[in-house]
Amino acid sequence: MSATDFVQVLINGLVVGVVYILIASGLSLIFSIMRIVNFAHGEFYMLGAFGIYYLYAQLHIPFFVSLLVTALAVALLGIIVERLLFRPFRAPEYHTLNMIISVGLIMLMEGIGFAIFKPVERVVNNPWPGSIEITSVVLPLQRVFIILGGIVIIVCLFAFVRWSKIGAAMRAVAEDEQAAALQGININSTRMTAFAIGCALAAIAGGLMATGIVVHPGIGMAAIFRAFIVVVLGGLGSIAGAALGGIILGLIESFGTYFIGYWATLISFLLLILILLVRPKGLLGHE
Amino acid sequence: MRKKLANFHMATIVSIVCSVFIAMVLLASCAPKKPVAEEPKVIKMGAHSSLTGTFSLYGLPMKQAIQMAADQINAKGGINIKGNNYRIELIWEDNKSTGEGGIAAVQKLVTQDKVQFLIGTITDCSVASAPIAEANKIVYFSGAGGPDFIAPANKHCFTYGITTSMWYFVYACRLPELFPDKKSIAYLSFDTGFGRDGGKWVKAGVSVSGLQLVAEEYFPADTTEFEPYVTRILAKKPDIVFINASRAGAPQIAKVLRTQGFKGLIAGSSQFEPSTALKVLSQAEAEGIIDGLDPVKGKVPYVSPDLAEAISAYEAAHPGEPKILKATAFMGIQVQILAEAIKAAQSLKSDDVIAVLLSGRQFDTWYGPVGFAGGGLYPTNRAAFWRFPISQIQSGELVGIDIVATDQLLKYMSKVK
Repeated sequence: MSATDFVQVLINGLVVGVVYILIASGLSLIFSIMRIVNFAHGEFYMLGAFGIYYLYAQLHIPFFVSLLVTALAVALLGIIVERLLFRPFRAPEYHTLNMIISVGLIMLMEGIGFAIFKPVERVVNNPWPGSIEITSVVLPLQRVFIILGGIVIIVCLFAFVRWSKIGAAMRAVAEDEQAAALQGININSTRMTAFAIGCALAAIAGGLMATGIVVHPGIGMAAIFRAFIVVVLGGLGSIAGAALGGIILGLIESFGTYFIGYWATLISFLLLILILLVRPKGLLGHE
Repeated sequence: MRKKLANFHMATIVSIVCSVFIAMVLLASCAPKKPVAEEPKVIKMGAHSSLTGTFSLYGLPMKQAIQMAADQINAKGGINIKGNNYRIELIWEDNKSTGEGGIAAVQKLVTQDKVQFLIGTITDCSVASAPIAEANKIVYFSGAGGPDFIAPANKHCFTYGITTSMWYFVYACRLPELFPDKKSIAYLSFDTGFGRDGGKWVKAGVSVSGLQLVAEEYFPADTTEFEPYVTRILAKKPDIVFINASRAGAPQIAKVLRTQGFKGLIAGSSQFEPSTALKVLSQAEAEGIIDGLDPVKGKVPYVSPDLAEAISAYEAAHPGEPKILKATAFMGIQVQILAEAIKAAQSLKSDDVIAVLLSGRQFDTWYGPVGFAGGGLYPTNRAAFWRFPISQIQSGELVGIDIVATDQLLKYMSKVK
């Protein structure tokens, strides 16, 4: 492996890792507050990609305006989903039912996606053509924007959870729901906000990724699979864990692909099994 | 006298009555005939496509292409058999992109719908369901049936010799003749039946041309991050990279290839329609990409204008559907071949139609003349071949640069080691 190849593979891994973080952070946030593994998270990601396809690629609305509108629309959908499907089954004894609901939601949303958007592949014009070349290592601008977007979103999410009033309420609910309720925190409202933010994060990830992937109604499944590995690796409910998990998975896949090609896809599975056996709470997860 | 008069009257009356009767008959025979309501004669063709599942992205375009061919034949009066015009009735089933789905679809078409011919699309679904057609002695044409579909035991099965995967065989044989400075290739494909099949064809092609295959890589079909795979294959320094992916995925891979500094030839099999590819690639990045020729826009004299007409007619009749995907329009020609064979046989019996299909005659299709052969790489001679266009993106347009004739194609096949 030449030095140039090494740096290129390293950068590939970081880029892929940031993408994984983007997708997984919302999933992790929702789990930390609601104790729900939202398997339908990938479908909100898919909606984000379609939002960009229609608003930016078809209606030619500026990219970041399109992304904002898409994120708000998907957040609103998240509120409706939380209110109608998850809130009635908030009690701990419905934990399994919530998982079944989220699996059912995948089928429902994917089915509706195929019915509305049709099984047609779409591409979105790349808003950031060109690339940066540093000592024969090439980084497309589109990837640079995704990395920057990912970093900004993660930092904003950290700051929001750490310093905002709603973030404090979220942390309290994540720590102990009953104690939080006794302190006057509106549990329903906090859960709904967390779910909406989680869905919006998925939509932002989908919207950013739409500029570099094939957009079709089935993209949610692949996204949720990787996101699930990332949050298990980093620790369910830990946003810092999702960040760490994303980078680790990205680097492992990138170097693995360079050395063993197709077989590297098995690494994700092995990693998932290994982490569940050795450290089920994940690298930064809580007991 | 009175008796004579009576006889006269009787004879006169009889003559008058007879004359009136004859006149009426004559008049009636000359009068314009009233239309007689006839039962419309129909040839039932059962067709299946991947409307859901892994290949659903191709399922609808393939269905449209097949339906488009049937619609065009029907619009021109159908198929004339012994003075009667028959229209084609396509009965559709979803094969769900799986072998099991293909079996269920064909089983239903044969047993419940009592179809007289079968039309298939995706390889796995067609191969799995071939025994049903064989058991019921129904001619089964599947455009992407593949070699297993036309195994010696499947005497009623026919397929295209030129599949999407086989494009790579032609490239591997022909590109070194067109670009003599290119000595090595890498093959990068999604991990599907198509993709793996393409890999076999590439190996067959390099055994003919002497090109060096330096890398053969597969990625999961749902991959969105191509950078790691591209870095891996570029480390092997290929002169040409063959991409086998979806029509939206291939330009993404080409983009990554270009951004990682690859300056050599990129070749795909009909995934680089400029209208889509240039949304992802800049014109400079797309320049020189090799692809199958767009039969409608590509200024190709050998393609029947019927295809352009068929597309216009279909899109006008189905305004709510997605536009016809020109890259999969070739799926419709199996209906054209079958229709011509039925007409030539003047029979709907399978044996008669098969005799025509294997008689050595060529069939007139949207893609020019088509003949059946085996060509050394197929187990039987029930594979259809036609002339093979090679094109290149030049200044943002797909321009034809070469045509590999059917006999040239067969010559390459005979040299496979």
